[in-house]
Amino acid sequence: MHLPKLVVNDVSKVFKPIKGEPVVALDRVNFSVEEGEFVSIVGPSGCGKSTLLYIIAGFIPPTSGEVLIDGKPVKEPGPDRGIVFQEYALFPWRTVEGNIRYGLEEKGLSKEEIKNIVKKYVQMMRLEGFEHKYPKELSGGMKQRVALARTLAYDPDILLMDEPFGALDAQTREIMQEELLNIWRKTRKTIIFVTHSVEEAVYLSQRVIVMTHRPGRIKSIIDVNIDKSQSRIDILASPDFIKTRNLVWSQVREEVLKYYGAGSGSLL
Amino acid sequence: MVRVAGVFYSFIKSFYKSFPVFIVFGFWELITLLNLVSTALLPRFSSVIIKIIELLYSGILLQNISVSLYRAFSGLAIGILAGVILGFSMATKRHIERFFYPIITITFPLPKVALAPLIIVWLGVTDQAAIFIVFLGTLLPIIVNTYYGVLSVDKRLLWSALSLGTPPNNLFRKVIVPASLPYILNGIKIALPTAFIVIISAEFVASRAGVGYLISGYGALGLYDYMFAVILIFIILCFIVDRIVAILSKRLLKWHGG
Repeated sequence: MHLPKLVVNDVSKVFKPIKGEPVVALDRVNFSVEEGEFVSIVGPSGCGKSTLLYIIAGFIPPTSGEVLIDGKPVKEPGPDRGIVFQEYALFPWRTVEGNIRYGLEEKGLSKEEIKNIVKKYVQMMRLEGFEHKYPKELSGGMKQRVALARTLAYDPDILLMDEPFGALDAQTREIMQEELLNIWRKTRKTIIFVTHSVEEAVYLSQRVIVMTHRPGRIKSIIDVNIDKSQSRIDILASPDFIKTRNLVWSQVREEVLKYYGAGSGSLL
Repeated sequence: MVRVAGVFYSFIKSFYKSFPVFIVFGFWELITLLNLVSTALLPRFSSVIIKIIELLYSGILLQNISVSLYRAFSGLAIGILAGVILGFSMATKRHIERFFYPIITITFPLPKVALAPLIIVWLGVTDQAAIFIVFLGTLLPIIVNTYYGVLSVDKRLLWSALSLGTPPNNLFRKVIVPASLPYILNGIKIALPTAFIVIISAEFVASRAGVGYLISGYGALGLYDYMFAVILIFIILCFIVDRIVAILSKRLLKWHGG
């Protein structure tokens, strides 16, 4: 029997504030992800896409439904799922090297092994010369490379990324996208990537999940049939890319319009 | 050669930076020299310096300073220990927070020196009484800073650690303690001058030794040049201790800040 890597099974999440009405953040979300697949989740702000990612990560429990990884329900954060946040979440008291080796220390690897793995990811992420710097001394792009290195060095099966490039400037963002795509080509990790950039989602992933504005439901799942081994320029220029991007964008646009349209019809 | 030049440069620089202090001393000497202020009220700066040398030579100053420092640092040390433990417990244990939060809120504005007479009645004119008063005075800033430090730990750091294989029981040691260290050290920086203020005040109230005892004793006898000598030395001492703590915390927190 075929078993998907990850199954999100009828997941709902309701936040009950101390005052006021409960908020339905996620409403019966269902999808599955195959091993080695790169899937993006896009949607307007407040559609619950980060919440969904945190439930998959095991940081917060769903109100109902469940997440299965290799057929086993998720109960808590686990070493099979690595996380990368928009705000990096590096340990500020540890150097670049100290951050990358954190998970390796927790794994109980030998000093020699740790040294080799750290070296590999320092090279891969082009962090040579910055090993002994503290996060506060780094630029945003560099911090995110450290965060990525820290997660990759730990070697989780699934990479969960919460708008990882959202805080970066446009140029750095493009470079990071290329690097991530390269890493995926090389490692074939299963990646779930949350973003509000349609272009980014289509460029990076094989499937794009579009979510509705509150309550967050799956609006559509769009396959991206583009050869991702091509260069960035070729991908962006291909008719398939443009077609798919427009399709995803029209889906997202409907949701954004619903949100803004409530107040003023002339905004867009 | 470069090293020597560097030391010389930093010496010149610190002299330059502390120049306003020397202006104040010069002004002090000048107004007393010109008899603009009676030396019965304000002794001459130069005679204060002579008294400092005299007191240092006789050993009276060092002996009393060491008594006060012993009391201040003992009280501070107990305050830090208890404050950090209580602050951590409050931030992580709901029922402990519920119990202590209102007590701390109510007692926070109270100057703890106000309790000195009562504590002296309980414990007598002893070192223990003085240490206890310092402990009370330094406890709350440590608790409050530790408490808010732990509460302000970014949950994404905890989540990251969990995803990188840290068992939940180790989060405290691996993430919460280092992440809240800047706040704890800040609490200590606030508590340190408080300890000095409290110990001097407590010694004013009742004591048989210490800097506060010397100051109030010389004051009562009208020996203002001796009194000023003690005050001046104590100011310098507080300044040095404050610098040491600042340098230590800067070294400990070289990862911190923008």
